[in-house]
Amino acid sequence: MINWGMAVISLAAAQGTGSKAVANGASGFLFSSPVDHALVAGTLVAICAGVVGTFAVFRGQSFATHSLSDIGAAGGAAALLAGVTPLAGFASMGTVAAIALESAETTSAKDRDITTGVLLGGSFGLSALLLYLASNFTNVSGATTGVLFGSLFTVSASTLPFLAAISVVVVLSVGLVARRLTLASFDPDLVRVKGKSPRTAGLIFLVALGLAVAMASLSLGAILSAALMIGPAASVLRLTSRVGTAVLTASLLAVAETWLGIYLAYESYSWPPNHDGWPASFLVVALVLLVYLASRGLERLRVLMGGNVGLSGGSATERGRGATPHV
Amino acid sequence: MFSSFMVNAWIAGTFVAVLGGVVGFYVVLGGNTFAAHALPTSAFAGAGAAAIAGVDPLVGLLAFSLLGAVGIASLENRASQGVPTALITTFILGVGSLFLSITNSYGEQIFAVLFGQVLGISRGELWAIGGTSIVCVGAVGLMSRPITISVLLPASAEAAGLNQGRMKLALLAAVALATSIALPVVGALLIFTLLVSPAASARYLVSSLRGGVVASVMIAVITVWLSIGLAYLTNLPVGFFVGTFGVLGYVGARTLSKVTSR
Amino acid sequence: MIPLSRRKNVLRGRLAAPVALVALTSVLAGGVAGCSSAAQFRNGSIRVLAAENQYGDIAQQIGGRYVSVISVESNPNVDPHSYELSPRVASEADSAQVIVQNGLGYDGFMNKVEAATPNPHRNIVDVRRLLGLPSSTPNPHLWYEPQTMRRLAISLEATFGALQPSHRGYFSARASAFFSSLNLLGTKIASFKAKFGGQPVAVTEPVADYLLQDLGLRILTPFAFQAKVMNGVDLSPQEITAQNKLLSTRQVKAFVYNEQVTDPVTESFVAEAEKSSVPVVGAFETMPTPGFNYQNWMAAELNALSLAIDSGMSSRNLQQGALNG
Repeated sequence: MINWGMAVISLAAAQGTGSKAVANGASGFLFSSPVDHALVAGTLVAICAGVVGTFAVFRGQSFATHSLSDIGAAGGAAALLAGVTPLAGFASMGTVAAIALESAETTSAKDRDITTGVLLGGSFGLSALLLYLASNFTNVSGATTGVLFGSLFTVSASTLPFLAAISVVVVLSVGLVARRLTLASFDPDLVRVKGKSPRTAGLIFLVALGLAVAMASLSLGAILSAALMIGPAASVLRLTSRVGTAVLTASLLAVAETWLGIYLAYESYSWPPNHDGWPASFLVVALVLLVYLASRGLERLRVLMGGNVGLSGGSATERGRGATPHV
Repeated sequence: MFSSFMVNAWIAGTFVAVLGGVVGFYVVLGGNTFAAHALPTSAFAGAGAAAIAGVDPLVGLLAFSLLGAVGIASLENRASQGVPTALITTFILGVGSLFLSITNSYGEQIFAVLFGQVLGISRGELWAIGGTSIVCVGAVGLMSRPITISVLLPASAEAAGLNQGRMKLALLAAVALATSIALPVVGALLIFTLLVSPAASARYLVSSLRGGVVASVMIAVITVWLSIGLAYLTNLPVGFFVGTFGVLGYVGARTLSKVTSR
Repeated sequence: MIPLSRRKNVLRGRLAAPVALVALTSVLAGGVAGCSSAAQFRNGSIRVLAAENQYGDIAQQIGGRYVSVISVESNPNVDPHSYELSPRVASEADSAQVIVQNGLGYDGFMNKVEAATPNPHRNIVDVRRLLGLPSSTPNPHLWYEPQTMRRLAISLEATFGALQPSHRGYFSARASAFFSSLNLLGTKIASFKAKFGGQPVAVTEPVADYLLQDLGLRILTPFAFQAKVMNGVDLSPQEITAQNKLLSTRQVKAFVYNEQVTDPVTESFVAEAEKSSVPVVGAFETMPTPGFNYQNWMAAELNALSLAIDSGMSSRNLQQGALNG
C-alpha cells in the first residue's frame, strides 16, 4: 500500500509540480496520521466501490446507488431517536429499501429509476418526521444523519477494523452471486432454467450495495460514496467487456483516484485563495468525473478506429452485437 | 386552518402540485427521474457561488441548475443509464463544498435561501411561484407533442427531424427553472416528491396521455391538500405526509392495475 | 410495468378512481375544518415567541407574570434541508406580539414565517441588528457574550413597557434584578480573567468563542478550522495534525467542544484530548433544560472551564453552577 502511495507521489513529483514543495509534502504526507487513516479507509471503501459499482452500473442502478445514502439517512435519523449507532440505522434502512426495490418487479432501468424516485421521496418525508421528533424531544444534534462531506481525514483508527470487516462481507457476498448477476442481466431466463432465481441474486446484491453505501457515506461522506461507487466502474465498463477484468480494474482505478485525491488535498494546503487546504471530497469527485469523461473520449476514439466497445458503451444494439459477457 | 399563512400554503401548494403533476408526467415518461432529483441538488452550489460573487442568490441558483441541465442532457444517452447524472450531481455538490470552505463564514447564512418552508410563504413569493408554474406548465404544454413522440417513437421522431438531445435539454431546462424559483419557497422535498410520485402513480391508473396528465395533476393536488390539512391537525411536518402519500399512492396504483389487468 | 400501448385497451376509463378520491377529500376537509392547532399562549399576557430558548429565558426573566413565552425549541443542529416549520410554530408567530430571533441565518426560518404572517404591530427583535453587527459577522453564537443579553433585556423592557404601560414599574424592577445577577456573572468573569487570563485553549467550533474571549483565554485553534467544522466541510490533514498536536503535546489547558454535536469529526478530537489527558469542556449550543437560566448556564460553563484549567478536570456534562459560589 505504501508503495502505491509512493508511486502516486513520484508520479506527481515527476510531473514537476514545484519540486521543493512536493519533496517537503511527500515526507510529511506519509508520516501524517490523518493521511494514513484516510488512505486505509479510502482504500477499503474504494475496493468495495469497485466491486459493487461494476454490477450496479451495468444493472443500471446508478440512481439507486446514489439514493441509498439519502434513504439510509432516514435510518440514521431513526437511530438518533432510538439512541443506537447510526450505522445500524443506515444499514437496516438500506436493507429495507433494497428489499422494496427488488420486490417491485421492475423490468426496465427506467421503471427502476421511477420506483427509486418514489421511495426516495418517501424516505425524505420519513426523515422530516424523524428529525422533527428528534428536534422536539431530544437534545442531540442530527449531524450524523446526513454527512455530506468532511470526514475523510477524521476517520479514527478504531473504526478501521470495522470498515475492513464490512468490506470483506460486501466483497464476499457480491462474489457469491456475481455469476448469476451477470447472466441475469443478459438473459434472466437462462438463470431460471438452471433452477435458480435471478431475484434472489438481485436481492443479495442490493443488500450488499446498501451495506457498502452505508459504510462509505458514514465514513467518507455521501458524495464521495456515490462518486466512488459509480464513476470508476462506469469508466472501466466503457473500455472492457469482461466482467472479471472490469471488477478488478474498477477497484484499482477507485483506489488510485482516492489516493491521488488525498495527495492533492494534502498538497492543496499551499494553494490559493486561503492556503488552508481544498476539500478532499471535491478533489476526489472532480478526479472521478474527469476520468469518466476521458474514458468516454477514449471509447469514442476506439469506435472510430473500429475496435470493440465495453459493456456499457455504445448504443443498445451495438451492445447486443458486440459484446458477450465473459465471467 | 385558514389564517393567512395557511391560505398562502394552500395556494402555493396547489401551484406546485399542478406544476409537479404536469412537468413530472413528462419527466417520468422520458425516464428523467434521476435528473429531477439532481437539479434541485445543483442549486446548493449556486447559492455558494452567488455569495462569493456577491450577486442575488436566485442568479446563482438559475445558473447552476441550468448548467446541471446542460451537462446531464449532453452526456446522458440511452446506454449511459444515469451515470453522468450521478457524477455531475456529486461534482456540483463538491463544488459547493469548495465554495463553502473558501468563504470562511457561517454557511447557514448562505444556504438559508435554499430551505423553503411551505408554511412560511409571503404574498410576494406567491406571485413568483404562480408565475413560474404558469410559464413552466405552458412551456411543457407546447413541447408535449414532440416530447411524447421522441420518447415513445424514437425512430419516427428522428425521421421527422426532432433532435432527442435538444428535447431532453428543453424539458430539463423547464425543471431547472421550476426548481430555482420553487426551491427557496417550498423546499426541495416537496418539489422532488411532487415531480415524481403523482406522475408515477398516474401511469398505472390511466392509459391515455391526456388522461395521464390530468390524473397526475389531480393526484398531486389531492396529495398536497390532504398533507397540509393533516399537518395542521396533527402538527407534524407537511413533508412527511407528502412523502408518505407519494409512496402509498404509488403502491396503491400498482396494486390496482395488477388486480384489474388479471 | 406494462407498456403504454398495451395498457391503452385494458385500462380505459380508469379516471373514476381519482374522481372518487377528490370527493373523499372534500368530505374529509369539510370534517376537519372545525378543528385547529392554535397557538398555546396564555390569555391576557404579552405573547412572546423566541426562536431559541436562551432568548426566551431573558424574555421570561424581564416580563415575569405578564408575558407568555414560547420558545421554538428547534434543535439548531438539525440539518435545515430537512427542518420543517410545524403548523403550530407558524400560528404562534402569527399571534405573537414580540418575536426574538438571533439573525445571521442561524434561524432563517423565522424570517420566512414572519413574511408569511405579516403584522405591522408585531415587534421583531433581531439580536444581530440590535447589536448593530454587520450581516457578514462570521460567528453567529451571539448569546455567549453576556453583554448581548444586557442589550436584549434593555430592549425587551422598553417593548414590554410600551405594550402594557401600567406594568412599567414591574418590568423595570425585574430588569434591575436581571442586571444585578448579570453583574455577578461579570464579576466572576473578571476574577476568572485575573486568575487564568492568557491561558491557551483549543476548540472545535466557535460556539463559546465570545465567552472565551471575555475570559481572556487564548484560542489556539485557527478560526478557519472552526468555520470548517461549523459548516461541515473537509478539514485539511495539516489542520487536523496541528490541532492534534495542540492536544497531544498538551499545549492547551482545556479543550472546548460543542456538547450537542455527535459527529465523527468532533468525536475524533474529543478522543484525542482524552487520550492526552487534556481536560475537555462541553459547551452547550442552546440553553440546557431543565434547571438552568441564562446566568447560571454561563456560570456553569465558567465553573467547568476553571475546573479544567485549575485542576485538570473534565466536564462533559454541566453541573448546576451557583452564581454566588
